[in-house]
Order: sequence, then C-alpha cells, then structure tokens
Amino acid sequence: MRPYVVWVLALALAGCVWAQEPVREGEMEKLVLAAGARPEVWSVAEATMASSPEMRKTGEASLHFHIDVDYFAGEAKYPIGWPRASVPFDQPWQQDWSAFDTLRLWVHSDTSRDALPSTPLGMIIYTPDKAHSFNYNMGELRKGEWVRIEIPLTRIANHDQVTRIQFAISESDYRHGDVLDFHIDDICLLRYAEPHLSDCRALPRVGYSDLRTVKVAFRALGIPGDGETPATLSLKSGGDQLASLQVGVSRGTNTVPFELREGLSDGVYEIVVQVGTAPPAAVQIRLVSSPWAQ
Amino acid sequence: MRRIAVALILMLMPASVFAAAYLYDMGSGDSAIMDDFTRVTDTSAFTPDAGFGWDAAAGMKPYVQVYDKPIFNESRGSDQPPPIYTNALTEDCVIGSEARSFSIALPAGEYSVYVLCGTSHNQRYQYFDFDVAVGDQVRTVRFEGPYQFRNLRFTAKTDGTPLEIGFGPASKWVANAIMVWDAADGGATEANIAELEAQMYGLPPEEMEKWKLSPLPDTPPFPEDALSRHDLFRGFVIYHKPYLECIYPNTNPYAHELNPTLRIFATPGEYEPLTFAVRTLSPLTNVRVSAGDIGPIKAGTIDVRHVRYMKVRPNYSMFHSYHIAPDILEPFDAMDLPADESHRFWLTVQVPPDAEPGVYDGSITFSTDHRQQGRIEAVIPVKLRVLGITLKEDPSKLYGIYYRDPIDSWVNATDEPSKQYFLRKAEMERADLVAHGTRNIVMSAWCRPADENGQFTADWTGLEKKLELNEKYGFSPPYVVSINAGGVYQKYMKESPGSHLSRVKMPPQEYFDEMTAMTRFVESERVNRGWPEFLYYPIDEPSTQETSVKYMTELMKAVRAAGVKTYVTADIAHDAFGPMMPYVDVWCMQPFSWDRERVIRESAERGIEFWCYPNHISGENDHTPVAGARMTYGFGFWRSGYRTLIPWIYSADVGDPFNYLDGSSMDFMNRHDEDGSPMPVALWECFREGYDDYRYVYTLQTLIEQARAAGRNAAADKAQQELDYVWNAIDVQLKYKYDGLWAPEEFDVYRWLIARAILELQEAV
Repeated sequence: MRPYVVWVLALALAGCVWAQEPVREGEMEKLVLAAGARPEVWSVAEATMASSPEMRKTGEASLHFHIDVDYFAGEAKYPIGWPRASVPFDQPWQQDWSAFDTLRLWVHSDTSRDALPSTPLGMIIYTPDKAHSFNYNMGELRKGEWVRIEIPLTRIANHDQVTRIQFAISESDYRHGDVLDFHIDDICLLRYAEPHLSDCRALPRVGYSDLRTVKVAFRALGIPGDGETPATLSLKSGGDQLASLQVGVSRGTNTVPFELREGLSDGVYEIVVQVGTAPPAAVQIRLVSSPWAQ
Repeated sequence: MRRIAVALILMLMPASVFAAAYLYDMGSGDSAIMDDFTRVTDTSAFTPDAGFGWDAAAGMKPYVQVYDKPIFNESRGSDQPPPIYTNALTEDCVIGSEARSFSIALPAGEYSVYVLCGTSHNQRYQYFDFDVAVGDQVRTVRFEGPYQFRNLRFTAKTDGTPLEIGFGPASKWVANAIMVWDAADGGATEANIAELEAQMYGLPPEEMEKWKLSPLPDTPPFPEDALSRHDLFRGFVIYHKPYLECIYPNTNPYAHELNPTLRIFATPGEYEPLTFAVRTLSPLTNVRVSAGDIGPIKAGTIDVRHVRYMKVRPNYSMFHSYHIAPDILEPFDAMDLPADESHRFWLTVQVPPDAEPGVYDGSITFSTDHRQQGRIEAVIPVKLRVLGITLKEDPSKLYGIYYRDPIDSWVNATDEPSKQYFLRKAEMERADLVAHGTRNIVMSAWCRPADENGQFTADWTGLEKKLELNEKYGFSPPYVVSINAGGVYQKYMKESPGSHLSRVKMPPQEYFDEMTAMTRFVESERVNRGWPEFLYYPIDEPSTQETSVKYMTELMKAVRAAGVKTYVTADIAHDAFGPMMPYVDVWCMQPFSWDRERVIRESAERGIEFWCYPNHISGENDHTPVAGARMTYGFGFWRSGYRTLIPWIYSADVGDPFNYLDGSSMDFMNRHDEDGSPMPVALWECFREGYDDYRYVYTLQTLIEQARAAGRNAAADKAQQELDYVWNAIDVQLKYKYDGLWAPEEFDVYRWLIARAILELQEAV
C-alpha cells in the first residue's frame, strides 16, 4: 500500500473518530455510541451478535443478540453460564459522557418462553473497569415489545471514564433449551438542546410542619456551558405564593436549600421550580405537626 | 518470599538506627530474626554474660506461622491472600502460661520500652488476658485468638541493675518483640516503629501499592458565610444530618444543619439513635462527649460512641480497590480529631419501660482542649417525646441471623479464663441480638457419618449449650440447623462436592439412604432431649447446574423422608431449581424475588415459607447502605410478604478483625471489644430501626382490627388511610440498598404518621 493511501485512510479514520457530533432529534441532541451496522466490533461468548436490518427501531439495523440457553455447553467449569456480548469504548468521545444527560437504548425481546423472567437481561457499564461498574437489570423488558431503556447519567458514577458496555444473561434465570432473541438498537447519549427540568424532588417529601428548610433537588438540563442560570423556587398553597427564592443553578443536578416560612399548618404544599425558559416543574410536600409540638 | 519480605522491612529500617537500641525478637530456634534483633526463645534464661533472658525457662512455648504469599484455596480452586502478612517479628512468638519476667542488662539511664504482643499462629480458641509490667507501670492486654497485635509503651529508669519486663497471665501471655532504647535518642526508632505498624495494621508496602483508593463522595460547599466568630474561635461547628445519611471525612453541612436541636420520639422500652456531627476547623485534642439525663433516660444508661472511618472494599470479595467509609461505632473516652474533617458521634438511648409519656428536654456536651481557654464546650439541646404506646410484635414474622457462636470456642478452649470469656461473649451477643429484635440463629447439628454398624454418634455439648442460652434469652424457633451432608458425600465419593456443589457428581443411593438415617438420628435426639423444632439445611447455596439440582432434589427428598422440614438457600425465581420444589419447606433467598401477592398465594397453596437473607445490606459490600437496611428490615419487609429475615452474618472475621483489606475477603458486620462486648456497625443499628418500624406498623394494624371489632369504623378508616398512605409511598424493590429509597429524614416522619394514628386510635378505642 502506498504511503499516501495510508495517510488518506488514517485521515478518514481520524475523521470518524473526532467528527462524532451530536445530531438534533426533536428537543434533544443525540450521540450514537453503537449501532446495528457494526456487529463485528462486539466480543461475544456463548451467544451470537449480528446485524438485523429487518428488526430495527431507529437506524438501518439493530444488533441481534441471540442465545440458545444450554445448561451443558459453554465454559467447562460453568456450563450454566453467562452468555454475553460487549463492545470496547476506546475513543475519547465514547468514554466521556459528562456532556450528556441520559443513556438511551431500545431493546426488543423475543423468546420461546411464555414470558421473560424477572431478570431477563443485564447491562454492565465499565467505569472504567469491572470493579467500578454500573449494573442494570432490564426488568422492564416484555416479550414481543420494543422497550425504551433510559438511564439518567447521574446514576452512573464515573461516567466520564466509560471503557466498555456489556449485555449478558445468567442462564440460571432461564430453562435449558430456552431460545432468546434480543434486538438492541440505538445505544446513544442524549441531552436537551433547550433548558429543561427533570427529576425534581423535595427532600423530604413528607416532613414536620416546623420544618424550616427543605432541599429541592432537580436536574437542570439543556443549559449551555459551565455558567449559572437564574432560577426561582416558589412555595404555594391553594394558589397562594407563601415564599420564594432566587438562585443561580448550573447544568446537572442541583440541590437547593429552600427556606420555608414559619407557622405552616398541616397540609400538602407545592414547590414550583422555574429555571430560565424551561417549563416549570412542581413537586408536593406534605407537612404534619411534629411529635414535639406542644 | 519470606526473605524478600524481611529484606523489604529491613530496607525501611536502617540497621544503624536499631543498632543503638536493645532489640529482642521472640520465637523459635529457627524462625526468622529481624535484622539487628537478638533471638529469644522459650529456653533463653537470663545470664549475666548474655545480658538478657527469662527469669526461668519454663511454662513457655514458641509458635511460628509464616504468611508471606497467597494460599491455594481448594474449595474455590484459586490462590487467596493469607489471613495476614507476617514479618520477622510477627511470624513467631513465645506464649506463656505462667508469670515470667524478661530482664535486660542496661547502663543506668532513662529508656523507652516497646513491647509487641500477638500471634500469627491459629490460636482460635485462646483468649489472651495478661498484664505487662515495667516498674510500677502495668498495662493489661486482652484480645481473642490470632492475627491481632497489641503494642505497649513504657518508660523506664535504671540504676545499672537489669530492667525487668514482667508478664502476668490471667489466661496466657504472648510476646513477639521487645525494644528498648535511650529515651533521649528515639526519633529514628520511632520512625521505624511507625513503618512497622503501618505494615502490621495495614498491608506490606508492596501489597498496598496494588490497592487503589477511590475518591470520597461529593459534598456541598462548606457554608463559610454561616460561620460565627465563636465557631472560628472554638475551631469547630456542630451539625446534624439524619443518621441514615452517611457522613464521610469530607462531608460538609448545609447552613440549616448547623447548631441543631436533636429531636427523637420513642415508646417505653424502645432504643433510638441520637447522632450529631462535628466539622473541625482546626485540630482538636482530648475531645470528649457526655450526655446528661434526658427526662426519664438517665445519663449513665446512654451509650456514647464515635463512628470510626475504615478502609473498606467495595465488595467483600474484591481486591485492590478501597475507599474510606464510616463503619464501626467505637466506644471512647477521649480522642483527637484532625482539622477540616467531619466526624459523627452516635449515642444510643433506651426509654425506660416505665417512662411516662411526655416531652422532655436534655442535652449532650461536646468538649475539647482549647489553646486559649484551656477547655471549651458546646452544649447540644435534646428533645425527647415519649409516646404512650406499647409496641406489638407480629408473631407470624421471625428475625434471625447467621451466627458464629462463641460457644464453639467455649467447647474447645483449654483454660478456664478463655472458657469464661467465650461463654460471656456468647451471652453478651445474645443479649445484643435480642436488643436488636433478632431472636433466632443458624446452628449446626453436625455428626460423623455412620460407622461400620450404621450407627451415628455426636457430641452435643455445644449445641446443647447454645439451645440453653437461646432459651435463656427468649429466642424463637424453629432453628435452621446444618447437617453433615458434605462429610457423608466424602465418605462415598472420596472427594469434596466443591464450593456451591461446583464439583458434585451424583452419589449412589446408599448416600441418600444414609442422609435419611442421619436426619432421623438428629431428629430423634432433638425429640428425646426436648429441643425446639429444627429446619434441616444440608447444603448452602447450591448452584443451578444440572447435576447440582439433581443431587439437591434427591438430597432434600432423602432428608424429608425422615419426617422433618427442609430449608434451602436458593432463589426460587431461578427456573433451574424447579425440580427441588416438592421437597423444600423453606426457600431462603437474597432478594424479595417474588412479589407479595405470589408469596402469599404460594405459601397458602403449597404450605412453603419464604425467607430472605439480604446480603446486600449485611456487609457483603461496605457498611454504608444504612437506609437500605432500615427499609429492608421495616417497611420493605412489611411490603414483601416474606416471613423471615435471616442475613449473613452477625459478625465474621478474616485475619485482623480491624483490618478490612487483609485476608481472602472483607470482614463482615459487627466487631467486638477486647472484653468480647459487641461493637456495632451502623448497619446493625439500622436493622433495629427497621424492626421497630415494622412493630409500629403491626401495632397499628392490630388496633385497626380492634377498632373495627368495637364498631369504631370511622376511626379505623382514618387510621387505615394513613397506613395506606405509607404503604403507597414505598417504591417496592427486590433489594433495597441505595436507589429508590425515601430521603433519610422521611423515615421517621412516616413512622410518626403511624404512631400518631396509633395514639388517635387508642383514644377512640
């Protein structure tokens, strides 16, 4: 091969590596981590992984993860084993997920069984190794259905150092002879393109009526850069605003201590959070008279 | 390898430093000697020429056990780290059963003395209890078994006559090394002792290098603006977070958590945690915490502890990754705290059973030395509400635990002080179990396989004693008892079935016949001796492999043929276990695998019970899933429909019980003090809080039924509405650990909602 050909290929490869930019999908920006067109990059044991253009949710093809549950085959020491498939993430854009909000994928399940067991398929995300990994049991999968799996990245520690993603079953969760066909599609990272609030919680959701401070936790998404955006927290009851607070919030999870006013009676109150142009989010808090009230 | 380890130590300890000291390494005639040290054996009697030695060469024996490399574990089929790593000083020792003194001829002068006491030899049935005396200074040393080392320091002044170091045993004494050096010239020796202790209480440097420290969890910014001048002057702030929220060294308080009033409510007889935290702004010395009376709770009954940080593994079987986490609730009189760290203090109060309902005030005092004021203190107000409620316990539920009973050591101990210690420890632990709501333990009914005449013999000394103590402390049967299925398997198959039956082969029918006969023998002994009901537990955690399940099916059938009930630790959700179903009476599994409706239905239809051993909140990982523990034990248990919680394990030590990085796995759960008294981890306290949560729930359920029976339907409906509110607030999970739980401060509020409903219903009824 001539040198200039090598250079052209190298530049083309570098383009693939570094030109991974998110694409707009509705109000979200999306970065595809793994797609169905390249099953060969997966390491597979006691199962097969193939491209499946026939069964797809979004792109050109899904990844077809096929398992024949066999209690007698596989590793000699563990004949009832763990069929699995994993793909390494060795490019920086695959490894650092910190600029995104959510991991999403679609999974379609089919099986010779009447229904899936309670632990049908597991996903392990290495951050960066197995000792520091995120484990997710896809208990929500249903036979014959496409199911969307969405995991807020706040749940995945060290998600700025992801090196591998693996799917696996434990054969002990199945019967010998069961046939499984999982179609996995559109493994991607998502982030809001515009300001958006999610996972809004009052901490506590139920408290004593002499509670002076409640922590309001929420994820402020779609906020560009590392700066702060003004936010307003309001305490409301029956349409009346009882207290409010102006703060600056940054992208990601915010926990804001919010001073309640004295003399609140038992009842359910609403805390409304408004961040920039994002649609407001509201959470309820129930207050009850304390055991020490005279 | 041993030489390499010794060489590494020696590299860290320049010979020129120790050369100036008088150094003695106790052991055998051929065990390794630390460089610059002089060998001392059980025969080294003092002579003026030698200038050192025992007053008599009698009543002593050397012990040697070198641990310098991994050990092959046949059951697991792999190399595992040794229980501890030894060096030339710790690999050997001299143990004595009589009073002895060791003399050293020294020039007149002032000296520092360091005595190292411990053994690497497997003295598991030995309780060491002895005094070491230098002049009029006497130190008492007490510890149980091997792998622990105590260091003692003395000062001595000699006039030219030999220095005497006396060892006076209550049981036996043990010595590894004695170091004596000029008191005015000890800096370098101290540095080398520090290196030695780092290895002895941690890991050798070359091992420690393999371990990676994970960062501490994120924390909010320190609320500088909320600090007062007084805070800055005294060098600390006091704050409060719910005890279900872990506090790490770097944890910062929110401003609203500063200067708290601690508030608790409880019923008569109930225990309750009372915690606060200190964030130091500068180093604090001689820190003390004391409590005054809190209404009916007398100060002297309040248990005051500090939450010790430990180096812990993320999972018990994991190597080379560790982090710092809150762990043991350690008793203390006074302690020093470094600057810029948070430390939690954990007090446990018990409301007297005869306490009158009402709201009471009290206080806790935190005090420390102060550079300007000599001593400074902070008074933390406490408010206690005693509720006029008598909590009821659901008789259909059972709280048990896997347990390493000190009675097994009591049986095997050879001296009376050790026997007394193990018996006392067994009693203290049972009292602790009951105080935490646990009244059932797993035991063993081990006996040898049948002899050539088909007869079984057994020594029931230990089991008899255990059952006697269980009865004394009000335990509740049935008891899970393991039987010697592995030993009988060995008899017929001439090999072990392996860990979790990994190497099991199908034995002949004679094996299963003998298991039936053995079970009949044990059961007849049980009946004849009037012991409570047993659940027979032949194999722990069988695998799902086909031969394993086939063997287990035949084995459970054989055991059941003796007319008894069977118990298995296996997850019924695994279809592979299906063939065992007809022969298992109690399925015990880690998660709440089947939902409540199915558990209740299957229990009713098949007469089987569902038990849970929630390893995820009992030390399988670190000891931080405290909120998960309380949820598992209380509201989650209520919601599950399961009958029993029986976690692994009350306490289990691997190597040094206060070193979680040594050994083949991490140590599990509670520790114990030198006198054998329990030293809990926070998880254990949270088990009790969950247990109490469920007692509140059951008390309200009972009252609702009474109210309906009394025609107070409106009051009953109102109470039921509140109970339903709590029920619906639970995010039902297979395993309650970290995610999807209530906020830490919510747990007590939900409990209060139930308590308030109880109080209202009591009025109505």
